[in-house]
Amino acid sequence: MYNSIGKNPIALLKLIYQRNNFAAISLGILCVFSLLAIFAPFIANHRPYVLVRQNSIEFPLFNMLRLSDWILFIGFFLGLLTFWFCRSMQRKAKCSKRATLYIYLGAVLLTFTASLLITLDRPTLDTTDYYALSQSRDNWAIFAPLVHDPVTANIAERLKEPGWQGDLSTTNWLGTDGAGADVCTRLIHASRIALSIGLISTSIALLLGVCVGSVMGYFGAWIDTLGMRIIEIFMAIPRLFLLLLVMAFIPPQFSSYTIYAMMIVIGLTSWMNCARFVRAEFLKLRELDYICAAKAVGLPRRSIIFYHLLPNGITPVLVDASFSIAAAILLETSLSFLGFGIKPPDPSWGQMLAEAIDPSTGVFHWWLAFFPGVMIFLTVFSLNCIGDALRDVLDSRFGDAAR
Amino acid sequence: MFPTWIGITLIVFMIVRFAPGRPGSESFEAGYLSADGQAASLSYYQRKLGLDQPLYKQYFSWWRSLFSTEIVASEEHQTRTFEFTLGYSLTSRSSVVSELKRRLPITLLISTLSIILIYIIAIPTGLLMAVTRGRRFDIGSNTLLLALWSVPIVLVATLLIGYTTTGSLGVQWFPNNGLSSIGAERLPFFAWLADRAWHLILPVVCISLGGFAYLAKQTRASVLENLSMDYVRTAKAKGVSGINIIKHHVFRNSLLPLITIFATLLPFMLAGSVIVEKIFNIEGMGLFTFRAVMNRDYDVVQAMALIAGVLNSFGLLVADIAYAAADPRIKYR
Repeated sequence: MYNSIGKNPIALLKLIYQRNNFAAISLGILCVFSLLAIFAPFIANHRPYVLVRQNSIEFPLFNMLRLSDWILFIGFFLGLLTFWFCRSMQRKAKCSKRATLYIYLGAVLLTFTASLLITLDRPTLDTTDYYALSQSRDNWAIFAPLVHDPVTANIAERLKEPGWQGDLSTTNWLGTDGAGADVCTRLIHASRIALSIGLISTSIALLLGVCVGSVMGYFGAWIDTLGMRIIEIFMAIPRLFLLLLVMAFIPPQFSSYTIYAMMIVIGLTSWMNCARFVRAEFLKLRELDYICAAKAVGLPRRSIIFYHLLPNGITPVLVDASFSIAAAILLETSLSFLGFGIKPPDPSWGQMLAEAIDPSTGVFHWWLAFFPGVMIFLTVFSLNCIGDALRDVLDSRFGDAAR
Repeated sequence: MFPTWIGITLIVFMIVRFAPGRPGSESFEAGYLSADGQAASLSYYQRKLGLDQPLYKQYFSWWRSLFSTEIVASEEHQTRTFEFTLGYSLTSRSSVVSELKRRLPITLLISTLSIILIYIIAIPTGLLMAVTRGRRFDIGSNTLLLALWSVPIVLVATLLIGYTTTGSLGVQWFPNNGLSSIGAERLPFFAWLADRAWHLILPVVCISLGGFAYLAKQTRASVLENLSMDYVRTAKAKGVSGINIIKHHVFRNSLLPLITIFATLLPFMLAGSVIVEKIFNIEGMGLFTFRAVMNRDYDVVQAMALIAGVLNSFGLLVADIAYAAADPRIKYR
């Protein structure tokens, strides 16, 4: 079972589906959210796809797309394509496993770069009222399903309750926030930030954890002892405290880089579980015969670690990864809620949640608490469900892997 | 234990000292000082707080500053008094210990209450889930627990505050900030107690949800593990009824691993207290830490890190001792 899972993600997904339908549903929810995140500018945007203005044709939406958007789309389609291609090739046994791995890695890397770039290049602010423009005679336009901009403030429309207001595409389905921006649009754009923080910080943590854990597990002896002490130290510091420290000390002129600080700090403070699991696996595996044989044959150390130990010891990391993404998203939410994370006008779920209760008047705007809450909850819950199902499938005991 | 404390304080020290922004700098961010004045003010603060010293000296002087020594000379002899201060707050000019005397009991009250609440509710739930393994109750509550665990404290707090304290449903059920109503200290004892409890309900509920889910899941796993043991089969074979197996054999054995979870719950509570105390405006340790971080109050931040580390190791110690007390097979020599 180990081998079939270690090498084939499809087999794993099938196994999860057979064992646990709930996890399959959450996988679906997560897929929908990722699609929303990837195609956010196409779904919610006040710029039209096509604007025909007295014989001239413009493409405002495509003109505003940034480098990160393009990389994200290309990475997504490339990933889809290679996935399908490799599947069919593997069936005919024409594609070597290593080539498949490299193509996968390429697609993943592209997506990561894109999510890294997401807040670095902001779109230029465009306050043109395209909708009014398109209503006039001789002009027409094709709009995205939601005709709203996530960052433009509109004081005239602040704090509108959710509901129907006459016009299909300009209705604020989920209401507006304190600055007058559409809640639904902000939710969709915020899912980009939340997911990218989750992914990147977790990959930092996994990279670090796997490295530290494998070194500790392979060499053992004093390296192991030292590593365990360091892990203990890191586990004794409350993560939120450390994050607050770093975030509070970022000077205001660098406030647009807070998202990177957040990714790095969350990554640097959540590698401990991963390292512990990998270490435990390595300690178990290195006593086995095949490692002994590999050593006897005279294979170099890197070959033993990377090709013999790591592929077999990596499975608990999968479980840890999904819990760790969920935890990172929760941390981001809490930080943004407290005002240390994503700063307006960039959208974030936690920051919208914080707007729900007006501090001066004490009025509760339920739609600002409910809808971001649903998004946070569904994302985190799905990730946790998947982690739980993975743990059941892999059927090993991880002790207090949970939090 | 001690190396851990040194490690924690070293990490926090490094972050605090290498981070941009200096104490006193917020006074001239407001912009009522000229450039020269800013530089002068900065260097004044640097010298006053010893920030111009090399880093290792600063670190050692921080350890020394935890105890303030004072030489009291009287007519007969000189005495040196040690006072445990944990450093001084830059903003309030009082020692951290004197602040903590006021605030630590509040945080500990909330944490202890929620830990007790968690244990009281989670253990029967987990037990019931394990007994009904695979049936509808088990699967349903398993999913529910995972859901509870996925809800961030900030979301629960916002919804609870929104629906029960702002009167958006027509009634204001609970107070939304502080730990007691105005004038509560003049009330008779039981009224005061009721008032305090009324204020504590929401924070305690917020902080215990996640821990409750975690502990219940652990209880279920632990009971299930014990149910598959040989001694349970033996008991069944000699004709002990199902309820008696649980009551006399499994229950006590499966409680043992839950004791150690106390140590994992404590840091979780401390992190939660920062959020909960900020949201509910309770003057505890969490809010104190939060303000210290906001004000770049170096000494307080470092003292807080130290306290978190000490509380953590204290939790581990208590868990170990409790484990040894509960399990006669384990003896520490």
